[in-house]
Amino acid sequence: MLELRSVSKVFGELSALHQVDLWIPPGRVSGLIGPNGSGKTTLVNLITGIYAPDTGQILFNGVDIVGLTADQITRFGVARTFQNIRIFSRMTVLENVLAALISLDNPSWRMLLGYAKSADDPRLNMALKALETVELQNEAGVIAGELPLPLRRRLEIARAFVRDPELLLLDEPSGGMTPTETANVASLIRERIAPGRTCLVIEHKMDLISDVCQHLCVLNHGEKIAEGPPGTVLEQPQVIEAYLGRD
Amino acid sequence: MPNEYVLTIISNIGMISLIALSAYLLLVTGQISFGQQAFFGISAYAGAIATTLWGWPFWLALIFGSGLAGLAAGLIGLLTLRISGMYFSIATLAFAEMIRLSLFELTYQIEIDGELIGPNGAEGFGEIRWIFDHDISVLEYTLLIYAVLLLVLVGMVLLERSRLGMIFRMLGSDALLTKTQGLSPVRYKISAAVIAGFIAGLGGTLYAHSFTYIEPQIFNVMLGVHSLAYGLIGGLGTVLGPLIGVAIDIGFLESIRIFQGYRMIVFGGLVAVMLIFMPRGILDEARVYWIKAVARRWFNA
Repeated sequence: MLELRSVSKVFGELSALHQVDLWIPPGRVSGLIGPNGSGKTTLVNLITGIYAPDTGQILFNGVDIVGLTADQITRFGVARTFQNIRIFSRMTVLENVLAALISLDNPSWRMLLGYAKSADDPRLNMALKALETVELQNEAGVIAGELPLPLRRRLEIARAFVRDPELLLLDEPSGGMTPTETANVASLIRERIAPGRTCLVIEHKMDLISDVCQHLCVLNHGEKIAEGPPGTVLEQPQVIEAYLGRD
Repeated sequence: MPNEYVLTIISNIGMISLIALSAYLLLVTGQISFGQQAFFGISAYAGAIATTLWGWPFWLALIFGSGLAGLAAGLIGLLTLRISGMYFSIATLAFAEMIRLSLFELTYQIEIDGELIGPNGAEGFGEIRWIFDHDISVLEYTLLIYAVLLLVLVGMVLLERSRLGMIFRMLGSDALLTKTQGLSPVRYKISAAVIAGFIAGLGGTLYAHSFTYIEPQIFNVMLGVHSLAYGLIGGLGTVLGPLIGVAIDIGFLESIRIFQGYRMIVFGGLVAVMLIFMPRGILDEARVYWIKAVARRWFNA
């Protein structure tokens, strides 16, 4: 599915990622954890084409996607959410989800000039279904910027999975949430989003990671320090040290 | 029947609304252009040359002038693709000034009926007499301006409801997020630039034939600043926003004697106040949605 080979990225003097190898198994939920500044979001930005790596390969279904632009990578079947929520805040909730579907097929001028919310368009049904999945169907007409944080996160998730991507990257899907809200997002991912899909969840919260992930990678100071089943990985001394520090 | 002074103000509102709509379209896509007056000017000269020197029918000249403006706008869009924010604004201003200064050098005169007519540098272009040759009254020409404006408004309303319109708003909200929805901004930024240039161009040809005299100084930066301000005052939530801005400035501030001499002070203050308290104008997106929701409820009841 997705494989990173010796991927490095340097920003000025700072080595954000150094020779990272990573494998995301298909059809499963993988977790990516690490302390602040360990390179998690940089890695997601490299996979989604927002940055280009300085060295290394990123293979998606065997094809090296390094050098492709963010929009090309999305059309390849990769979708994501953002650590700092990004929504089209002046558009409605439904429009936000429809926005993700415009490029589903290569948009022709005829399609582009058509009514965005046409009842005949299968995209409208897809968007409404996605909103139902994340339980936002009653907010379809609400301006997205007016939603409270937990619902904005849900909207981002709906927008990311409505295209039925082959790889779904969720960057801190419970960021800023209370324990109850985090548990709700975890059950949403586990029960409705993840089944049958390849996901990479970037998180700080171990309860969410343990709840939804079958595979775990740990980054620290831009290097991978552990990989494997969550139960085993979380007990490794270098992982504990990265999170809790040395005695 | 309204007197000629009132009609002139009304027709002026119509023509300036077109350049305001042009700037508005770019504002919706998140681009602040200080250069839409260049496309207004290009079309004013091109359209006027087509009717006056080449004897083309008005409609053909209107399409020719506007098409040329759209083409120039597309070219500038292509050249400024990789820049945004303040850099884009400065680039558009520099281009507009380049065009204005070039018009000072433009001399293209043809002898017609024993006289040399056509643009003559700083002296301008003063023989645009299509309305006189065709015996068009001020009222008739005002109606023609509003017919064009109505067509543009209908087109823009349809555009706003379309997927392309949605992409324009997406770009204006978050260009990076738009990219991660699988859409390359290149195609859409250039499309917006061409459409905006064309709309400004419609205003330009209409303006030249209305005033029958044009000179490079008309297309200075103040025209561009005003066209931007109209959208920012009226609101970026609907195509009616810039029209409200134009109506406030030309219909109210410029036309009412009490503001004579102080218009720019009042207008500048108004823009400053709006930017602080209503940064996306009177009819911003939230208010437009609210109005639509109320209208729907009322209609259903």
